[in-house]
Amino acid sequence: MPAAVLEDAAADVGPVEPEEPGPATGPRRVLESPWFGFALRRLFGVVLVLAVLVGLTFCMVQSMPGDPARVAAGNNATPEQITRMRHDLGLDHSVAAQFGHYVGGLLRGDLGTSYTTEEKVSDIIADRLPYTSELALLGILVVLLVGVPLGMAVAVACRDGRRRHLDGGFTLATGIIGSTPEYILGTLLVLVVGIELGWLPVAGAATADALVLPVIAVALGPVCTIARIVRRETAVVLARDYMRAARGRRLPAHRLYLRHALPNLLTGTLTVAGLLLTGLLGGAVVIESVFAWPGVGTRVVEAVTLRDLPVVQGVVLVLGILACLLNLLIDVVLGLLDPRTLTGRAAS
Amino acid sequence: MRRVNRLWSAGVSAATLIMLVPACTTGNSGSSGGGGGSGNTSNGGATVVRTTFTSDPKSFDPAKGDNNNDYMSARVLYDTLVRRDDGGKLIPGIAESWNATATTVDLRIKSGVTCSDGSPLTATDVAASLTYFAAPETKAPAAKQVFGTGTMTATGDNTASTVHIELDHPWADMMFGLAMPQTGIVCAAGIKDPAALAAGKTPGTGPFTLESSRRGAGYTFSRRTDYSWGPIFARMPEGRPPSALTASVVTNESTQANQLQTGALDHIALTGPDMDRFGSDWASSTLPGPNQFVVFNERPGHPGADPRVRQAIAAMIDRTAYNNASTRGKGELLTSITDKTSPCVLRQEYAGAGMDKAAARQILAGKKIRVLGVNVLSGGAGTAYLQAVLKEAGADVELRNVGFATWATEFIGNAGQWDLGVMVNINLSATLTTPGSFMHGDDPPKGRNIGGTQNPEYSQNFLDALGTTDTAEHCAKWEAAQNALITRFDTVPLATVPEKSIYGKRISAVTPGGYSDPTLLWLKG
Repeated sequence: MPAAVLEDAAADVGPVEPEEPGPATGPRRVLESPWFGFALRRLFGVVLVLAVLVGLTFCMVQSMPGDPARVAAGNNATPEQITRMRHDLGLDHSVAAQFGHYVGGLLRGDLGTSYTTEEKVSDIIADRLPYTSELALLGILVVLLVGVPLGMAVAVACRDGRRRHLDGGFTLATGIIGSTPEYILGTLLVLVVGIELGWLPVAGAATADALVLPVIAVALGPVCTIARIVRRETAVVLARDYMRAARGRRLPAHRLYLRHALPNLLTGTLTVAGLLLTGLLGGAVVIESVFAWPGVGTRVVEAVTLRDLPVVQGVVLVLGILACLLNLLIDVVLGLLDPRTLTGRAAS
Repeated sequence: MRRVNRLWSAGVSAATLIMLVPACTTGNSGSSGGGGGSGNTSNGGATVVRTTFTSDPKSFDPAKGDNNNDYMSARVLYDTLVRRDDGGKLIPGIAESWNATATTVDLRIKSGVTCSDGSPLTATDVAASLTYFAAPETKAPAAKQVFGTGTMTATGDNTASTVHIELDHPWADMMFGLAMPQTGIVCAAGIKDPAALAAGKTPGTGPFTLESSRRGAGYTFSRRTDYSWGPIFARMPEGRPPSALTASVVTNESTQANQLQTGALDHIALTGPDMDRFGSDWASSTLPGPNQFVVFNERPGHPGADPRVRQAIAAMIDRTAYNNASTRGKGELLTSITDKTSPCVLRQEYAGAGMDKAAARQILAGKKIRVLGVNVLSGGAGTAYLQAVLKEAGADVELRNVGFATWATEFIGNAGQWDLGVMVNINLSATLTTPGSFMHGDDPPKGRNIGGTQNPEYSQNFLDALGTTDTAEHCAKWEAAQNALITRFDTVPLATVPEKSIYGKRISAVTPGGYSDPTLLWLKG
């Protein structure tokens, strides 16, 4: 159980945990702080992941079949045009030289230039990533705002084996929706809400209401996933002694569930939500395509098709960095919620 | 207690930030504006026609164009010297008249043509634009299609408003090349600043200017009020041209169809099954699209080196069945290596292989044949059909349907192991030369002869056809060349991959020469 929650719950209903020994001072305090070791481990991890990512991304795109120069020059290009294109793109150098050039560029903050559009890869990402981020962040917000209360409500309503039909219906519905591929959900939303009812735009990014359907489409499955996790976690929390004691003191429902139950659910929920957000940032390709949402996913698929290697490398690298940073952020939040996670001891 | 409160405060702040950050990023297109409006039909009171790009244009420099989105934007921003009308007839564009031989063209420029900054377009500007297009450092993908393999020299006479083009090798298709959107005439400012030209920030000669763009989302073009030199086709749309044109970037054909059905778009172009959603109550035009024909690897050691094997394979192919597999029967069966919108293409139907299937089976039994296809076309269903019929003939068939880049490399570049492939050729010049050049000359990478075809009769007639602009002689040579290919079984003509342009209720459109042109999407009434 997170210490913060124990502390707070104890103020109302339970015994107070013993105070920890007084903190050290000065440099020793920093070195002995669990945050110091945590920061060192995470920094090493991020550097390692990025190094592996750079190497793997380069190897991956090099092993893709097809000649980028031929594709960039066009189907009707003459051999001279293809040779010139290959030279201009630097593809006539050895693989080692190309890797050196790539890494050198990265160290200078240069992600390269698109083979096909001659745009800077950093500009492409700057254009597209906000759209993908918008979709993913709003999606995860919906997931948290709907999934957590839903899961808690069902768990409370079905506490101690009550309302089994509701529990069964919830499990069945979330199971079906959660396991339905998002492109099917997206297509159904378009057909029903967009075309049949005409309530919302079926695609595009020109107006604010165009966001509604894609956000629902990306969020619906994860809402079910989170709701099921929260429902299960809530049931466990509700069975704890301190919760029984809190109920025995007839605390108001909002205080009981929001102050004492919810914080205990956040560790697992945030961990899963972080993973879902990482997945949404890199994996909303289908939804972006269905809703003509100009995110980074559709652009990278196009780049793969056209063997636009710098774009593929740049996008994968930036998404990888984002995933690292998100994981780091989640670890920090979990560390604040439960400092024992900083030293690798999981909360019970 | 205080710690929990802080956490909740932090949570609420984070949620607020999450809401605000995207609003600050994607809601604002910065200096590029907000193109591609999907739902509005008015733009500051102006009337707008809404169409789509399937991806962002690669560049707004017309010379760099190599896909349909590039061609569409080039048509909107830049006019060409001539245009192609129905039946392959050339009509005036920026040039009001011309006189062409196989090595020279003299054109007279219309008076009153201006760049969108108001400066007059001179003959020397036109010559400079053509020189820029042909220069190797421009890397214009279509330069050789327009001016052939030799060197081009263009000079302008501002007093006489004439432009003289001279080639050091005969290229009878030059005038057709000058109708291609890639040869759109660029103003002097664009040639001076190619980066600005590529970004669409320099003045053009076409009916629209780029007002705003948001890559990945859409583009807005405003119609020039001073534009008066546009081509007059035999058939023109009814009504009036729009004051603005938007092109939303929509890759998915189903999404395009959804948007047209819900009134969010006025025009879409489909090649896949979504076209069946639009019945006769929707105005539409079916355009020929890319052409498909069989190419054999005729190099020594390959089964296709033996003309009897090529004939047997041709005999096993039911072209109607192939068309059903690859285009759901929507394509038009070809008579040659391109469709009937091209001048001089064979008019008589393909006569077949002249061999019965029993004889074909005897020849093909046990032959190892590697079929290479591209999976972007109906998932490679056409080549899967070829695999099935050749297997049925007793051949040992290996099929690989690969992505476009691999196909272009291994098939067009002849860098892979294949014996039989299907060429899918987008013939924008609508000449026989474009597909014909894949069956003649040196092997890749030195030349473009995909299958290593060695057909002297074809090659001679190909070169002769390029050496004359006399229509009758030109077509006679091409007829002989095509017949030489077909009777020697160097190819089997298959089918077009049709594109269906579908229009919203308020749109009137024409497709002269069998090609879609966004500047010819007009508003009814």
